[in-house]
Amino acid sequence: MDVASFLQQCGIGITSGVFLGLMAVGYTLVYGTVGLIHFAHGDVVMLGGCLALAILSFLVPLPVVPLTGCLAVILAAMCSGLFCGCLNVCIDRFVYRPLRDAPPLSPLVSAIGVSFVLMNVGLVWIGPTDRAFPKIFLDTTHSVGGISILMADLLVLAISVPPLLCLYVLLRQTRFGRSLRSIAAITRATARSGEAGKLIGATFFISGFLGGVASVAAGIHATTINYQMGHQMGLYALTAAVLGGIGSVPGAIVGGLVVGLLRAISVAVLGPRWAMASVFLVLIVFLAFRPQGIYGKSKTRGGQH
Amino acid sequence: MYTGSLACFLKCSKRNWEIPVFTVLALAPLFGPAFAGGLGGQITSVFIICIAALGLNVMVGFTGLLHLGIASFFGLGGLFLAILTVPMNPLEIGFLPAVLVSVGITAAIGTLLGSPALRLRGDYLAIVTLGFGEVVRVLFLNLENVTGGTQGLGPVPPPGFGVFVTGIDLGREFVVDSRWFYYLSLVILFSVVLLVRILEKSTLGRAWVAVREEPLAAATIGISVAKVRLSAFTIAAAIAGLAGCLSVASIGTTGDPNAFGFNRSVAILCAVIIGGLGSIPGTLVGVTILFGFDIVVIPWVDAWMQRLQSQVFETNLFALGSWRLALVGIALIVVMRFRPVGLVPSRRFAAELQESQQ
Amino acid sequence: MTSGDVMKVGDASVLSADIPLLSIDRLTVQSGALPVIDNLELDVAAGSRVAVVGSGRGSRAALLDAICGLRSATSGSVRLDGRRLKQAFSAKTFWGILFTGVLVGLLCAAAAVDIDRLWLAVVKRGLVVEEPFTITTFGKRLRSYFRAELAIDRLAGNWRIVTADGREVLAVRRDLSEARELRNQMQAAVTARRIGPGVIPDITDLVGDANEPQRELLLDESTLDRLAAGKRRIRFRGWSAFTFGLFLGIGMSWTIWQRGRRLPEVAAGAGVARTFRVPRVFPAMTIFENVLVAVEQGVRRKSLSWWQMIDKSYCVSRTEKLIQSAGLSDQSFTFASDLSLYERRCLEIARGLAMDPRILLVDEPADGIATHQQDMLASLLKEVCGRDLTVVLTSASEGSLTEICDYTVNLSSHSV
Repeated sequence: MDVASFLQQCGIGITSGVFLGLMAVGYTLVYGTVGLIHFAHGDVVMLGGCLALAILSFLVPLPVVPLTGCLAVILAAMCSGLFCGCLNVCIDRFVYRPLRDAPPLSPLVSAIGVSFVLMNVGLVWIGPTDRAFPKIFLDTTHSVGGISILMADLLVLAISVPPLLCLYVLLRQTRFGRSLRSIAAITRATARSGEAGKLIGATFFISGFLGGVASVAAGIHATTINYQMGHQMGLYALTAAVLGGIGSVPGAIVGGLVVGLLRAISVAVLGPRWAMASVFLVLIVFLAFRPQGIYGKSKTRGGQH
Repeated sequence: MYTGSLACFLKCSKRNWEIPVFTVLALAPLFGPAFAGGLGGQITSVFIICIAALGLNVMVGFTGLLHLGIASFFGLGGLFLAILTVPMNPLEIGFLPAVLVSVGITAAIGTLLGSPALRLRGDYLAIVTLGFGEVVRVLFLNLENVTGGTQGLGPVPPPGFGVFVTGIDLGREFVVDSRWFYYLSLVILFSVVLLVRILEKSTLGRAWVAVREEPLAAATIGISVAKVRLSAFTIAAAIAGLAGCLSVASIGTTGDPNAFGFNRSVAILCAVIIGGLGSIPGTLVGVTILFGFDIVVIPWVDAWMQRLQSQVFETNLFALGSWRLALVGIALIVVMRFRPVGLVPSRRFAAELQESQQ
Repeated sequence: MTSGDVMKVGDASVLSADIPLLSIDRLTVQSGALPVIDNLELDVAAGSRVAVVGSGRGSRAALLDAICGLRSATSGSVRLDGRRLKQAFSAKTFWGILFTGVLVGLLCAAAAVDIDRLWLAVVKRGLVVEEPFTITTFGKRLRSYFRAELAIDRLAGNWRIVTADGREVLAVRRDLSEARELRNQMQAAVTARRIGPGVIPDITDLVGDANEPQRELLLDESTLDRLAAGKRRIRFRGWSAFTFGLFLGIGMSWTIWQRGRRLPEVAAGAGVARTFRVPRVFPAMTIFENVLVAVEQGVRRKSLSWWQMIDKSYCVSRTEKLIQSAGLSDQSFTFASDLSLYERRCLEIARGLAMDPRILLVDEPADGIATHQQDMLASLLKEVCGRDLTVVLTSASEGSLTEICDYTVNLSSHSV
């Protein structure tokens, strides 16, 4: 593999890494606040993709000019973000909240149940086959120093980076962000209070919103969506979150980029059928060396009493 | 004399639920005429999943570790059996040694995976097992020469046990009559139930429970936590591998590797949790409900509905089959909401829950 | 305590024993950036009873944690009988790590030489050409794969001459014997190319000279070069992947072993038992089982390999004795989740004693229980503590429990 094609793959990897990072942030935020692996997140994202598909297929038959196309994509991303956010809040309100002091595996099983239901909804909504995502730029490419850049990939970056920046500002600069960051200290007892409930709801909304945006980005990047997309992307994003250290937001983004790059490179070197296996193998080996992930804090074992 | 033995039977049944249940199951084929049809085979596959679920219960229920890749061990067991027995490969060793070898290899793979994985925190272990499941599925799909790719490896000869007594070819009997497999899997299920019960009451079983409840305290009384967890992981892998062997032998091929993916693992896990963690009858009940519903009830209801109203509705939106996943999902949510300890909880787990709520 | 202060208590010469049972040397434990224990030195003689008071509750717990391996010290050491409470690097560890390394190396090598193609070449191709499957033929085919030799394969009734991994088809023949002959010629040409002229007829021989009739050139030069390089390529791949895997596996298992060196179970094996401020009993077990599990572990650790059976009756009788001495014998079959705080403390002490420890660490036994219960607990501890058992307990305040101790260590004012 020469340098140019390597850089090309890196470009693809970073693009997919950014939206995987967006999804991974969703996992990590929920884990950080309620200590639960939100298994249904991938399927929430998938439903967001379905909604975006519906919106875009409604809008795009209008004469496609890149500008209006971009606007349509942004509109779709906002809509599906809001939709996923609300869906996530509903899931938390009606499924997870009653289980706050159940045995630890119960919320997890409920999450799996929710995932099944959502996947089934997606199956009925868009059918069992791949659905083509409307193309905005019709494979326009620009060549920069021997590396051809797909305009669609730039669009992916354009819609996924701003939410990340907003998230950064939100977490670093506002009072809300500070309380969100300290919420990890919530114990089971205080998780029932109104203030904490609001914060948890907000967390679920944010993670859903980012997931919704990620779904549009993923649809543009992969050009198709299907009802199992949530499961597949969910696995990658969860890997990213764990690799970065689950519970840490910068870790999730870095993890997303690493997973995206790994996937793109292994697709180029070994072929697409080995992508998932190689990403997981790297994860397993990495965790043996550093069980807490890249940014995770190692827990002292005796700290709990 | 008859009444005496009946009384003895009832007395034993009161203490051991296995006796009446397995008696009924053993007698069932003698009476049910439906057995000649597909029902026998369907019940057999439920039994096989029961075995795998019992293995998973050792890990999740007794030792308290989340395992999201049990189906991959199920698949591995079946694959090794197929590799060792199919006529396509030159080995073609008999059924019994092939089962022993493949269970052994599956357990070894479990140990290998477990020894680094079990030093991780619980959530990370879940991800590693999940990832391992996916890796195995991808390997199954891609190593086409070894595993047969998407078509699977077959035909696996039926278990003949090398018996050719005066005109009876046991291997042929297995193909012709589904009751042979029914009894074979029933016997193995029964022995696995006994094995798990013995393990539960042994020194090792107590160490498992200790590690599940208070890993710190368990470590300070000298239980080496990682080793005890590893033993549970290995035993779970071995039992799941055994179930995989049975499944492959009864179907005759390893089938589509996607059947050993995440969905199957999660379905088995859900069955165990719905039934009640750490409870053997609970596991059997959970699997029977979840998979019985999936394998037996839904096709039946759909066939019935199709006959009834194929003229009325054009779409298949109203077929139960197209809402299968959602029904299972809703069942999971509802059971967890109203009975978080499972349908047939073990006394131990109930006590622990009470403790955590105080 | 300020940094740099060295506290010296319980000097070995003052106490009766010559070698202190437990010696803590310049121990510093940090919680975050804050030192909770700073440069502590403490010697405890065998058979003595020590109370640790003063400073915060966190510091006292951290001391016990550092002794029993629940928390790793930032610096300094803890020794029991002059030995550090760490797993030693034994021959078993060495072989284990090496074994893992070789195994991971083999896995990597299998991936690098393409196990799928190897299987095709070794198992399936033999069946195609109807070669019996024996050790010899197996070895032969294995060798020919790693030499990247040409092979014969069948597709749709035709015999194909393919590269060892079956990726490249060089020729197709209808007849098997014809295909065999052609394959042998091609192989000879490839081998000649690899080894160089002189050993086996070179490519020029096959082309023929003026005297002989012109023979067909089997393979063009570039193909020949590629095929001749096959052996080197596959060997290079296999060995480099094996080396990589070897180092990876050794590194992995070394890291994991390092992490597991200083675990509580190592300290427990050396004879350190402890209880917790909030008792950590096993709630889903009866009192009897709570103690039994510890007794069994103690017996197993002392004498048995893992396949040997445990002497059940000895364990049961010892468990009963322990429960009786803790004063819980009338309720030995209630679940531990139903016990009161005081009963849990007693149970924890009984459980700690079950493994015959050299030293028992009791964390805040007076915390949260009434005065008369404290007295009972004190008499229990006094009773169990003999010549072979040393007790270290922590306490927030003076009371009957600190009174039974031989001396008191104050963590904040550095005094005995």
